[in-house]
Amino acid sequence: MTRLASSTQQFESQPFGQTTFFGSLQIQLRVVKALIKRDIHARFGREGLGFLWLFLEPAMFTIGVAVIFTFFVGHDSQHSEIPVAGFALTGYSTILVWRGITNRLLGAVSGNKGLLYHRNVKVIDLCFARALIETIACGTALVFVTIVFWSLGIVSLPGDPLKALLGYFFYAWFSFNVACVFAYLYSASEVVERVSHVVLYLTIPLTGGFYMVSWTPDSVQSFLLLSPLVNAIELLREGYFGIGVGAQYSISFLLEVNLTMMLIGLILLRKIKRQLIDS
Amino acid sequence: MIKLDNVYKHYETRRGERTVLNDINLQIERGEKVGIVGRNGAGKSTLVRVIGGITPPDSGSITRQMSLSWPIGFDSGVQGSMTGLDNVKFIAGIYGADVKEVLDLVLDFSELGRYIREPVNTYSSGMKARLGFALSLAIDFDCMLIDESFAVGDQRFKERGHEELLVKRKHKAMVLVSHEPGMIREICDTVYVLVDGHLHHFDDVEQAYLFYTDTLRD
Repeated sequence: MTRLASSTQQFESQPFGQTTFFGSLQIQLRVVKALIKRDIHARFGREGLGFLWLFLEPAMFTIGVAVIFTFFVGHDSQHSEIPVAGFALTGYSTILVWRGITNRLLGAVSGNKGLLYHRNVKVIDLCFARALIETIACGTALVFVTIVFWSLGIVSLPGDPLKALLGYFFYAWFSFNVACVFAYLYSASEVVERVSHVVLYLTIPLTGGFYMVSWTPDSVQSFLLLSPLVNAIELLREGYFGIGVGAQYSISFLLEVNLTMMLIGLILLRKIKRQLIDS
Repeated sequence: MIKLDNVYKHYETRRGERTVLNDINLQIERGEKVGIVGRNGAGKSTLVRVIGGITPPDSGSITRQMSLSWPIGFDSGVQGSMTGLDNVKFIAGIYGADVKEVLDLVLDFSELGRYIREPVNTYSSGMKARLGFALSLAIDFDCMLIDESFAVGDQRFKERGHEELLVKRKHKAMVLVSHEPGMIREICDTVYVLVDGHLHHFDDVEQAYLFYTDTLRD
């Protein structure tokens, strides 16, 4: 690497371990940025305010579900510590992340095969860019709807926004890890797409979106807390509504599960690239 | 310099494992023009992908001390669902180049005109090749990997490509892959013939072609 002209160094990407860590990181950030732009343009066009749909769509969903909850489920006097609209808001916008990331990641590789001809572009970048868009879109929707409801006097603002953010982060991180596994399986067989819809739908009870663990019978509580999504959303709701909601979670459990799952997910994503180019 | 040492690559096929690259050793110096010849399916494109770092080898080592283009072929490197313009922006983005400069050069060379705003899927194979080739010219690589790009181009594209590579960029290194002798004979200092996974080295282009023609008879 010693004879490298400085003007050409920026193009160097060594997949076999010849660039510095920060050099690689810089390239990866550049690639993910370009991928995010490309993806948003591809989905919403580059004209006007089309990109606003990115969070308006999940926001509409969330508002709709909150309205349905308020009118049809009504206010449960037993659990008056959480406003029902706020409960639906935190519950549903997160379910959109849970389902959305996997749905977006399934097409991330097959829809971008041509881009893998650039060795700077890795499968992980394709997946990460899409997951990031989905996470930010649903997160923005959550914030946007919170502000709308707050200005209407329906909910109050989160008591501890950082804690809420941390909960959301763990939730999205776990969703991403699971999505990586689905993306790998999908690269082996497209049938996985049919199955994944079902799995993501039937696991909604395990997202904790529509209950607090403390409301459930003691016998199932420990079972529910095995779900990282339940832990994460309990943390998010404590940030939103305060410790009065009796949230139950373990941050060390969230960290352990996510780190382990991420390792597995990344190993699987590396395998996709080989299969794809070699076919 | 780019250097491949003892590189192996196998593929799974229905009839068992096939060795596509069998102990490949290859060195490309700055400014050197290297031709790779072989019949269809000999593994030329695989070799180029391995050199370019988009397919990892099963074993062996690769050293790259030059910036290296992606393999420029019929449609590789550009994304069909995106417009030409979006491809330009994206590729300038990932290589950290200036979008405007790249776009000007691409428009000038590719002569795509208003088609630059159409999805690449709607392009003819010649237009795709022009776009991909123009993009790789616009990003200033030390070494160009060219995989049969010129096979689909018309006369004008060939002449202009020739001019860009041999006159304006004559100090650049190049790896040119083809099963046709024409351009390789004209450009290359060194020719390799790929037969049954083995790479045979020739400093004399005519010798290489004699050998290659021989292998075709078997």
